[in-house]
Amino acid sequence: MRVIQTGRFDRRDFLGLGVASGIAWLLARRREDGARAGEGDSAPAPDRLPAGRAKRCVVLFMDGGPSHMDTWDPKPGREFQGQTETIATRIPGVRIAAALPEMARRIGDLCIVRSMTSKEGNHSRAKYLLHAGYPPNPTVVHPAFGALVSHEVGREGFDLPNYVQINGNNGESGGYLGVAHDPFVVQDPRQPIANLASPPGVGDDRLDARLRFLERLDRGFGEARGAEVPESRQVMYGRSRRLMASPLTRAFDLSTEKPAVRERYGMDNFGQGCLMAARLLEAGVPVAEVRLNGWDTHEENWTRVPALLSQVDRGFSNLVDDLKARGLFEDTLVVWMGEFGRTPRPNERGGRDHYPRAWSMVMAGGGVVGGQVVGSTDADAAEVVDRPVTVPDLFASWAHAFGLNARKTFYAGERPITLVDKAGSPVREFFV
Amino acid sequence: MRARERFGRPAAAVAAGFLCASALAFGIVGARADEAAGPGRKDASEGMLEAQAAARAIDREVGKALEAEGLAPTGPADDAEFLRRVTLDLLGVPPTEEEVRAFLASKEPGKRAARVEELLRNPLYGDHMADLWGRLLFAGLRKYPIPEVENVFRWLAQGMNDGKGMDWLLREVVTATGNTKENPALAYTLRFRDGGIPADIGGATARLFLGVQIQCAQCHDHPYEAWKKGDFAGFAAFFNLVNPRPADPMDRKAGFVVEDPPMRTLARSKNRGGEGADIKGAARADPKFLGGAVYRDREEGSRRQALADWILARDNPWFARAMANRVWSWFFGRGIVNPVDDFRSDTPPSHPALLDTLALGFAESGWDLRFLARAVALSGTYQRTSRLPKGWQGDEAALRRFDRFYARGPVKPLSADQVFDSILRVTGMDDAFRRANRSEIERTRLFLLQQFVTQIDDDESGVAEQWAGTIPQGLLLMNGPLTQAGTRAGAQAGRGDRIGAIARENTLHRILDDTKDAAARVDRLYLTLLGRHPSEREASDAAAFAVRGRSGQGWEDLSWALLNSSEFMSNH
Repeated sequence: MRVIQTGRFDRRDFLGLGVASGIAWLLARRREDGARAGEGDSAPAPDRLPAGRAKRCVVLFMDGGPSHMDTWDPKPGREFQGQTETIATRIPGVRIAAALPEMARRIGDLCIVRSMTSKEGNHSRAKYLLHAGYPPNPTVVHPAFGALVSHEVGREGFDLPNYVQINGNNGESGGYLGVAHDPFVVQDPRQPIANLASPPGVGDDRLDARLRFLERLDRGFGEARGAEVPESRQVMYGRSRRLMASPLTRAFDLSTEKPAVRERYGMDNFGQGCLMAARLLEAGVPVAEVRLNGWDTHEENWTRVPALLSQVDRGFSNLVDDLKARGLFEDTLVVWMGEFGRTPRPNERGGRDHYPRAWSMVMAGGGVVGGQVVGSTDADAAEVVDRPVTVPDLFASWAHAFGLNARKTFYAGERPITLVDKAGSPVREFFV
Repeated sequence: MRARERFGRPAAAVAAGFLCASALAFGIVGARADEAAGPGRKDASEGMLEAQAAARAIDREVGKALEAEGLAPTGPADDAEFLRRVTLDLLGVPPTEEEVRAFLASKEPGKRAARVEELLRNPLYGDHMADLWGRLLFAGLRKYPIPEVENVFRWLAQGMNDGKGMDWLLREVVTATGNTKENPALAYTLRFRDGGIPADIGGATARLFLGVQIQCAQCHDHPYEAWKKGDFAGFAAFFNLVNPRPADPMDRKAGFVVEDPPMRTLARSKNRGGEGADIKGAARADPKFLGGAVYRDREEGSRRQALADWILARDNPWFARAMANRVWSWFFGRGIVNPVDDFRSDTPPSHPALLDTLALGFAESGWDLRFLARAVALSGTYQRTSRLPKGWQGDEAALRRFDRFYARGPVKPLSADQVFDSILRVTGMDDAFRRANRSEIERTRLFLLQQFVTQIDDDESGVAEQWAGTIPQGLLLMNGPLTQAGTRAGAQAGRGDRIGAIARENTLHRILDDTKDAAARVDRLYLTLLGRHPSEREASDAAAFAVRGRSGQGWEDLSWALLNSSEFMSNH
């Protein structure tokens, strides 16, 4: 395990730590890297990064903007820290919120990024930015990253949707990639999928008879008025019918899961969403997003954040364990993030306000090196002092993790748009 | 630079040219000259004459282009085809069985024009216009509390039914002040509350009302057009002083307040930030009209009022064209300029003289939206059949060209609102819904729309260009509660689902109860669901399909198939 907070000191610290932990293979890689770093290379060269290993991903999206100081970047002893308790991790000097004991135990799998920095400080714009990798632009709707993965990695003839969003949707879509890459939204993971079953009394035979007669009607319409309408409608009915018939939809049905497993994840919507995500990934879905609302803690920050963290701690840790147990962890990128951080200085109402200038996010699996902290903030978590990571950098890193060409150009109408904002480069520290 | 050249002529010359062109086009030179100077809505009969003249102008201009392209247009639509098309376009729902029968039976000459007038006086017209404009102006509004959403749509529908003009709508939304509880028009401003003022509201205003995509110049000088960053900042600056705030910070239900700051203090302060220092984004740039003069704050009137005056001025080269183009696209599925909200040198109008004619007629009508509706609906171009002549199937490129020149009647998908309202109407559940308590209706409506409207709700372009549907849409239409309740032949299934409880009976029940003959049943179902009689072959196919299996089930299956058909789900 290692800590990288950039600069030579940390490299030395790391080497000491590596030897102490006795992780020989990692050590070897680090030495090599250290030597290269010593030569003073600055610009990260993507071609020199190890190839990405991600084949699928889970995004745990913390809607509302989680406080970085009260989660992954606490500043114990500082005036602005408030009542947040912290616990030590196995990385010397790295503490996180005490409400994350299970995550602390799994620190070896986590890449904590404490140096996120962005400029969008209002919810809808920032959520758009963190989903699309571009700020909102009234002339074009960018696809969410999940939709890009659906487009680039997803299988066209797959029974299940390629991008599933659990616990609601905030306007994220397939954008210029089209509705075929819109997220399939599960409003409540504890409920059955809406309209997935035929009405009572309409069995498979009857449904198929209906569809055959519909096709016949539509053929007539196509002959009279052109095939464009009926053809695209047939695609929609075909995909819907295939989903209805697919045994893979079991992945959506948590009632088939052992009660003990469900309880382990937590019976709240987030915990159940994490469980559903694990099941969907195993069934072949390349992207699942699980949302957790309630992070907009302008008031009661110190009671609300720990309550939310206890859900995160259960859901996230069980997800990591399950992905490992299912042999999926190494090629599954897990992302935990919100749309921004929160002001280090508390407001008068016992809360913290929006703060995009410095914040934290976490990754695990998918070839991202765990057991490390990337970047750091100053004494009050107000400014990034080391290794700033921008949102385009983050997206470029994900593209690298998936082996996607970040410069791939799409056309929204006649307007060229690259898969990732050209301002971004993969963050070297994530991968080596 | 080309855009500047096109629109950059001295304002007077533009206005003069504008008037001339239309007077000639309408063949009403002379008598109209004096009146043209003073706006004001015409009475109905006069409006009708002008609309008929505009309809002839449409056919003349479209005809010229067809001839130049060597394309032979299709013949006229039959009465059933026309009735369904125009009813869906003006009311958002298809005609009822009784309406179809009566219209087909009528021998009255001029019955189509008469029907257009009746539809324009039907209260559902306002509802449908409210859906169309509401989606455009208040995108994302469905996230608001239900009572406020309802207020906004009711207010808009009322205005449309009262015959309020586009000048009314523009002024209401662009200059809105007061409390959201009392002024529904504030929904437009509130939509941008979350950090979108002034940039996004400025960009949206230019795009929606002027068809100018100046917001591209927010980040960079426009690559193809003359717009510079300064143009955008100047335009957005008309909204700089707008700052929606909660009426009561302690009570979220108290609504939001928007006020224009007192210009007296603002104009006096040396640093314009003085009064507005705590106003978000205040006074970073001086307001400047598009391609025009800098606006100086005055003591009387707000910046936004000055902007509305400028947009509505007769020499504004964009507003009338943009609005005429937008309304045209609702009828024909595409604009004369495409994209409908992106007028630039490389998106020239397909029928330039036609656009100018409609724009001028619209301006002269006192911005009467029904003028445009009449002009289009009465035209032979709109009344052509959408049935393809032999030989046009299969060649997509040729077909697209055929459609681009309006050689046949338009074929376009129903919007989400139209789908929802049409299903209710043809299944006979709309009455039941109206009788049910209001909040229950809104809840159900929201619940259902939510499942497939996200995409359309956020699509401000207002033209559904894609036919591709999503899986949730497919599931909803195949298995959803509306489809279930509407195609149920037996007694209520008793599952106590939300819709079933509201709609205890439906049209299918009634038809099966009243009509025992299979052929007559098929006929009625076709009239009800598709607005026409079936052909002989269709009738025998449908009857054979419906009478198979256990009693009632076949009829449910037939209704289901008709309801899900491309013919039902599109306007053609």
